[in-house]
Amino acid sequence: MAYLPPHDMVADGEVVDLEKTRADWSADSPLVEHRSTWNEVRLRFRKDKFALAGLVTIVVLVIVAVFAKWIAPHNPLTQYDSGLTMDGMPVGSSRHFWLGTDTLGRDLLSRIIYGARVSLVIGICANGFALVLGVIFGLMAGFFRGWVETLIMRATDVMMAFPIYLFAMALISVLKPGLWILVVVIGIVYWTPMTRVIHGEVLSIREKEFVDAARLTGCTNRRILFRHLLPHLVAPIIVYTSLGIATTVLFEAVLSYIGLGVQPPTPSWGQMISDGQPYYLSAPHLVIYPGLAITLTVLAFNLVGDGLRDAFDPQQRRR
Amino acid sequence: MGKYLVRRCLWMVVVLFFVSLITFLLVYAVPANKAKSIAGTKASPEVLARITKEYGFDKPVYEQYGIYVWHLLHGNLGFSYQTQQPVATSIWQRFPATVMIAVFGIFFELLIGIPIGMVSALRQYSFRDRAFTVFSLLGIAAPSFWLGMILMYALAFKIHVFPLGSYSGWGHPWSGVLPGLTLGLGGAAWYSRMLRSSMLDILNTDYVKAARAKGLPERTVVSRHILRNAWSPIITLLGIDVGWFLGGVLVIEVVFGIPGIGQQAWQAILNQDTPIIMGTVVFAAMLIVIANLVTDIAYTWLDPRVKYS
Repeated sequence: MAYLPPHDMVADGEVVDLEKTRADWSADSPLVEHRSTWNEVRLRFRKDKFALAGLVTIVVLVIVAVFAKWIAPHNPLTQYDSGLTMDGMPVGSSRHFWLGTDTLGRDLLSRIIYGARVSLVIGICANGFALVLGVIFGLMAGFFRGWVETLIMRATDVMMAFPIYLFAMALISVLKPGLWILVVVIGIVYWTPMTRVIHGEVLSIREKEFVDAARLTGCTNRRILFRHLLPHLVAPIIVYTSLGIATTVLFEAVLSYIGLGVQPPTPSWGQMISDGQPYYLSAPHLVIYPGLAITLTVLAFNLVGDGLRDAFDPQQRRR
Repeated sequence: MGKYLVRRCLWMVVVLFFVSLITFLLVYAVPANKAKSIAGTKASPEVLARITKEYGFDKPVYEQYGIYVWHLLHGNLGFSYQTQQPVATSIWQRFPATVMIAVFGIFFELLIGIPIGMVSALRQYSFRDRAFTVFSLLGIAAPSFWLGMILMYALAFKIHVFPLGSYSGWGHPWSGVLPGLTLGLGGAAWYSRMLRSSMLDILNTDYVKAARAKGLPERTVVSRHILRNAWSPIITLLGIDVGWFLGGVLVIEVVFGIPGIGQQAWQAILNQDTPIIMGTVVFAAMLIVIANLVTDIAYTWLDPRVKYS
């Protein structure tokens, strides 16, 4: 027992046994148990039930995407004869096809499971790309000020004026759609919010004494940037990684719904919805299930992002 | 203020210049054989050569862009490859449909988002607050095109509240309600969330306690003291949405078959009709920039503490 209460105290509804505490205490034991920032964050995050549910969902999604080959009950590309009715319509859920089949007689569940790969890969990579650009530009703009800052921040102004969906679609149609093209294009249209966040954070940190101290001891700019400033930006970076993936997953869904995502036969959720659209009044399951998958994924990343933000910054709690 | 406005307007022109330049470089200059996309793949070499000369594709890129900007300054956005119609005319003809969806979208955002945000903040941690929180989390996560189809299935196909058919002009506003509601539900989720947190920040301030202490009716406290100070995030969102919606929400127009500028741009993308794509990007960017400016001016008008210099 490391903590010696001055008088009878009630902690977490339990009366502390003063006698026992006094007996356990020795002169050289520390007054307060040490907890690192990360311990604090973990403790606060664990109390947030919404965020925990989001985290579990993400873990499940990642496992499903990685082990799709073993988890999926059918091959997502096989067109089953038993998957279509005599009129050529998709069948509903059955013991064989749990969520029914699509318009070509392919198993819907297997396609949704494989679709998680595309969504997660593009969501995570595109957001990672945007994040790297945002952190580099934000750090530079906030640290060097002057013309570098003017140039970068005015460039974000220009980017914010773009109708980003239309711009991304035009770009992709010119470059021919494909997985990595999508990653790059989404990253390019989406680097501005991160740049602004990092820029703002750097502006407030760079005036702190420890930066002056580092400079006085003769640190180079690069050392100050990466050893002294960057560690303070870990919190916003982690939070926006999670929130950003939610946005990029939605972005990918829109693009693949429009027909500019990963090309068939590779299954992706947005494309499955657009394939099912002509039939959705008679076979709504074609549209409902892939849409639920998108909603669930985006929701999970948003919940974790919100939870992390509250955990890192308890004073700014969302309540 | 006057000086500020002039500077902002000049900056607006610069931003639009860069938007058009970037779009031009990427969309105009990259595709290899533009003459073919105008005349079709079966066109003879002579025809292709004539088109190349007529459209100036043989000139260097900077000269082509110079010509484009010169025309742009005269209100000429070029001619569609497909229909040979002026792009400005095409956009103008399609614009009313986009405006109608935007108006309905904004209307539903505010109609749903503001009361939900207010109730959530004033009755924090109540059952209603929790239910609304779940609603806004789902509203933010659900893709709009999917939500649109679900609404169509439920409200137009199962229960015949709204017409299932597509848009039929301003004379039949009923046909724009469902697309507007789709946009509005997603937006309302954001609005309620922002309003809730900004009202919660204000609820515990001294001036609200003072207003309550001097015995003002709750209605007055909420409307005069809390809401008036909680507006600014809503105004910001509104400014973003007006610009974005008027630029044509492409997916919604595609899902509901609304002949607005978004759908036109989508068809242009499929047909490689670059002048229409260029024109729509520049037009939408202009609306976004203007909406931003109006938002910033609205701040000074709604909140005397905000000053620009």
